[in-house]
Amino acid sequence: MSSDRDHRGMGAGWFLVVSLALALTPLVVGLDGLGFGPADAQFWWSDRVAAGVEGKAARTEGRGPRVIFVGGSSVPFAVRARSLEERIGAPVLPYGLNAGLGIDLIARGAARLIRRGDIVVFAPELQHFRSEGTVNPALRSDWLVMRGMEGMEDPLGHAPLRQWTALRSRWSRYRGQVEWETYAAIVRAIARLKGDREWMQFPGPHGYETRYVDDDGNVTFPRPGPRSPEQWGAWYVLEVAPENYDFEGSIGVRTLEWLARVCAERGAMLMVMPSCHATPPWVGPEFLERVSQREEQWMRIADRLGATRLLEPGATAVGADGAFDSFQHLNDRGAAAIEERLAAALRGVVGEARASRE
Amino acid sequence: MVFSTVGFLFVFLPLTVGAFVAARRCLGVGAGLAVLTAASLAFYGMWNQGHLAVLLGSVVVNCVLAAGLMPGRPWTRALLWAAVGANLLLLGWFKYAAFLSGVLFSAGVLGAALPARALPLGISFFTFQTVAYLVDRARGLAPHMGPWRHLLFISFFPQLVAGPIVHHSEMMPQLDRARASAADGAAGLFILAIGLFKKVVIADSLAYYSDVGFANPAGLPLINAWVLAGTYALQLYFDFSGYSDMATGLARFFGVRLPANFLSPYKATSVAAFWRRWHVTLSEFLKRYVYIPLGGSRAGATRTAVNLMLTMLLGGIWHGAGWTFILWGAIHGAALVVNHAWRGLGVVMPAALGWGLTMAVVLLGWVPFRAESLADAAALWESMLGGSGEIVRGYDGNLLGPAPYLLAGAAAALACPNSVELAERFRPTLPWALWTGGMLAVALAYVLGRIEPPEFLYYEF
Repeated sequence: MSSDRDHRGMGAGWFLVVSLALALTPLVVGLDGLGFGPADAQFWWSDRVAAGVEGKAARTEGRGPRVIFVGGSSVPFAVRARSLEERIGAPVLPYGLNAGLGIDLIARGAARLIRRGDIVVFAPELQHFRSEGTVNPALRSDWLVMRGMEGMEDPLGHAPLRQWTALRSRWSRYRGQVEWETYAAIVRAIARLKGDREWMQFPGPHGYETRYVDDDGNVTFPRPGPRSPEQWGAWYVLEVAPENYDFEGSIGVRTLEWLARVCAERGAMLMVMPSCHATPPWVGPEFLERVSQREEQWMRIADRLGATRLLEPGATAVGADGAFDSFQHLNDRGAAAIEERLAAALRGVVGEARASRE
Repeated sequence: MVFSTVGFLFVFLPLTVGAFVAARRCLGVGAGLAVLTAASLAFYGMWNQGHLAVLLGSVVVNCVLAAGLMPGRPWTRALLWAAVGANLLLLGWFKYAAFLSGVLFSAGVLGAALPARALPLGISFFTFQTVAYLVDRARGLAPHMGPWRHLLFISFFPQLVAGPIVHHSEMMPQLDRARASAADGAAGLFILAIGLFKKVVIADSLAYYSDVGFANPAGLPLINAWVLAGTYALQLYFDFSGYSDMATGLARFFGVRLPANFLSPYKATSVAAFWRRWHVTLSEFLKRYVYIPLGGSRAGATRTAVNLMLTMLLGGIWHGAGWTFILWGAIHGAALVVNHAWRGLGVVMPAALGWGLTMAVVLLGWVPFRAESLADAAALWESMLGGSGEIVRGYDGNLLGPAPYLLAGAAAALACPNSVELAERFRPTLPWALWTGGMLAVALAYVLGRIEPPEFLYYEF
C-alpha cells in the first residue's frame, strides 16, 4: 500500500474527495435502480386482474346495472364475483389491484368501465388515507409505462418521504421511464419479450401467479385456511393512530372527491364501504374500534359528497379464521362471510337501480 | 443494521468515523477506543437489545474466566474445559437445542421438541473467537485483556456479526494503536467499494433466481439444474466475500487490518486448496483448534481421515443445526480424505481436471448447504444427474434472467484478481479514485433502488 502521496498519486485526501463525490452522484441526481423492464414483478398480477375485469366489463355492457368494486387487492380476495352476481342478479366487476399502485391510479382505471346506471362501490384501504402515502413507485411507474394513464396530475406523487430521491429527479428509473419516451419504449419492448413468466415462477405456495386469475379477473386459487401469524404482513395497517392519517388532502380523499364527480357526470351511483379485512388473533377489541374510527372519518367525507354507505365501519371485518395471508386478504371462509353481507346489502340497491332504469 | 443499507452508509458510518477521529485526535487512543466500543454496542443493540445482553454477559463471564486461566496452575485445565464448555453450551442453547430436541422427539426420547430460538447475531463467530482466546490463555500464549479491551475485541462492529474470525494476537496490538489516517481511509474506501459492489450488484441480483430455483428444485432439466447450483455458488461467494471486504474496508477506517477471508476460492484446483481460499479464517480456526489437537495428519492415514471427517463435520454443524449442513460437511470431509489419499500417491493431476473435479464437489456440496431439506437436495441432485430426462429448457428454467450476472460473476470469480490482490496494487491516484467512486455510485444506485435490502447470507450462521 502506498504512503499518502507518491510520485503518480493525487494524495489520499484528494482520493477521498474525488471518489466520495463520484459515489454520491446517485443520491444527488436521484438515480436509483438500474436496468430495464418492470421494476416490480407484482405489476403482472394487477395487470392480469385489470385486464380480466376490463374484458368482463366489455362483455356485460348494456346489461346493467352492474356493480363495480374499486379498491386495493382486498377487493378480489373478498368479493366472489360469480356467486355474488347470482345472488343479486347483476354483473359484478371486482376492480381491485395492488394497493401500492395508489388508489388514484386504480380509480382512474376503474373509471373507464363506468357507464350510466352502474353502481360503483368505492372500497379503499385504510393505508390510502395515510398522510405519508403508501405508493410503490416502481409498481406505479411500471403501470404508467405499460398501460398508460391520461390525466394524472402528478403520476409519481404520493410516495413516502424516504423515496424522494427516487421521484424528484428525471434521472430516477421511475420518473425517467415515465417521462422519457425512448426509455419507456425500451421498457415496454423488454417487458413484452419477457412476458409474465418471471412472475409466474415466483417461489412459494401463495398462489399469486397470473394463471390463478381467470378471464373475468377473479382470483381462483384455493385459499382454505389462515396462514401462520408471521405471514400476516401489512403491519402498517396496525398503526391506526389518528396522527398517521390525513382526512383532508390524502390521496384517498382526493380520489374519493374525483370519483364522486365522475359518477355524477356518468349517471352512476357512488356507494362506499370500508375495505374487507380479517382480525389478527393477537389484537384486542380496541384495535377494531380504532380501525372503525378511521373508517368512519373518511366515510363522513363520502356522506358529504352524496355517496351512500353500502356497509358500515366494522361490518367488513371477519375473524382471524377468515384471513388468508395478510390483514387485507381473506380466505374462502372470510370471503363467504363477506358475501353474505354484500348480498344482503346489494339486493335492494340493485333492485331499485333496475327499477329506476326501467 | 446491515452494511448495505442507507442508514448504515449515510448515518451510522459517517457519525462513527467522525466521532472516532475527533476523540482520537483530541483525547487520545483510549477515547478513540471508547467511541469504537460504544458504536459497536449501539450497532449490535439496534438488532436486538436482548441479544446485546447475551453478548455483554458472555464478555463479562469470559473475562472473569480468562483471568483465572494461568498456565501451570493446577486448576487451569479444569477451568479451561469449564470455560469452553460454557461457551459451547451458550451457542448450543441458541443454535442447536431446537434441532437436537426435535431429533430426540422424533426418536421418542423426548415428549416434546423445544421451539426454535432467534439466534443472537454473530454468536457463532464471537464464540469461536472467545474459545481461541481462552485456549491460548491457558497455554500461556495470550495476556489477560481486561474487561474493556475484551469487550472491544469481541464487539468490534466491522467483523462482529459475520467475521472474519480474528485472532486476539493479531487484533489487540492493532486496536491498541488504532488511528485514522487519510491513507487508511482511502484504502478502506476502496476495499469497502469492492465489497459493496459485490454484495448489492452481483449477489443480491442473483439471489432472486437462486431463491426461485431452490423453492422448486424438482424436475429441472440437466443444464438448468447446474446453472441453478452455479447461481447459488456465485451468490454465496459474492455475498460473503463482499461482506468480508466491507468488514475489511470498515476496519481500515480505524487503522485496523483484518485478515483475508477469501482468496479466489473458485480458482482452486483441489478441495484442499479450496479450503485454503474459502472462509480462510474459519479454516484456520478449525485447523488450529480442532484438526491439529485431534492429531492432524501425524498419526497414520486412517486417523488422518477420521480427523478430517470430524473437522469438516464440525464445520458443517457450525454453519447451522440441520442434517443438510451435516451432509455438506460430510461431503467436504470425504473429498478432503480422497484429496489427501491422492496426494499420497504422488501422481500429479492436470490442473484443468483438478479444477473441474473440485468445482463438481463444491457445486454438488452447495446443494444441501442451500436446500431447505434433504429431500429438496436429493431432488436437485437428481436433476443435476439428468433425472428429469430433459437437457435444457428455455427461460422458465431460469437461464436468461440470471445470465448477465452469472457471466459477470463467473468472469470476476475465475479471471479477475481478488480483493486482497487489488488492495495490494491500490494507490491513491485518479484512476483508482474513479474506479472506487464508480463502483460506489453503481452500488449506491442499487441500494437506493431497493426498499428492503436482503441481509447477508452469513448472518444466518
